[in-house]
Amino acid sequence: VNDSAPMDKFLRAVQSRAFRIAQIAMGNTADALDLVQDAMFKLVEKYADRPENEWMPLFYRILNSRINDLHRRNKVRNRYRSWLSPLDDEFEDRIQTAPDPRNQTPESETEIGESMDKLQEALNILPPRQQQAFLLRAWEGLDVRQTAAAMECAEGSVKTHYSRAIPSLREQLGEHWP
Amino acid sequence: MNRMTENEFLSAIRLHLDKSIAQLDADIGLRLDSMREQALNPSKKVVVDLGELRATDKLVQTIRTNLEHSASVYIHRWQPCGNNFAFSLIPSKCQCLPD
Repeated sequence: VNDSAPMDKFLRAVQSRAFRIAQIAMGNTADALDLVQDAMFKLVEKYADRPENEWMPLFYRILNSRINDLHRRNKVRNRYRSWLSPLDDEFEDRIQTAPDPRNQTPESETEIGESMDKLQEALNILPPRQQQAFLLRAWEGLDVRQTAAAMECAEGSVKTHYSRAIPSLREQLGEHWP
Repeated sequence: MNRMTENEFLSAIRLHLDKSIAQLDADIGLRLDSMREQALNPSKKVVVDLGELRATDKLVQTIRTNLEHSASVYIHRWQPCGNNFAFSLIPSKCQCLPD
């Protein structure tokens, strides 16, 4: 029996959603792939011997930590760029400048449709912590305790972020979405 | 039209996000599979000797891209290694990466 089989099964199950979460958070595919890869490596290297029921929050704790680090680095880099190019305000507007995270083709664009675009935009507008809490709770299905472990914050903070994310998304998406 | 309940709203979001995964490019799926395999078998590594050159992000990215295309492999992000740097190679299932 292959010892890595349970970990392989876990990573296989989680990899696509983790990629999309990272892609939504970072706004581009290349960063998302690197972040997921880092999270996979770190989980296997450091936590493979932990009980399997701990892998999910540990994996997302690593991924969220990497996402937050990259957000910070990008923020510093963008500030540096704005100093170099004070007339260039393209980094000021997060919505306008967020690259489309999907590798779009005309076909996929049509298939995914306008409602997905709106959802993507609404998720991009959420503050990072609200976005993380929402995606982990509502999509990945982590409970409050697991989400708090993944986000390295108190359970009360998770509840707050999550409860703020929902009305914000409803407001952005409007009454008749999808 | 009635306003959706919160559960309906959340279900609709989940449905859309699930659909977006189903529509991910095949290349992304292949890369994720390769990453998983590499994470579980992190044995192969190649060190690139840059001589006098400095390992800037741009230079390393160019080398990485060229290696990926010429050798049809997916390469783990680079790691500093003194003045040089190292790539980890995905060990298998790498022969069908598109150009």
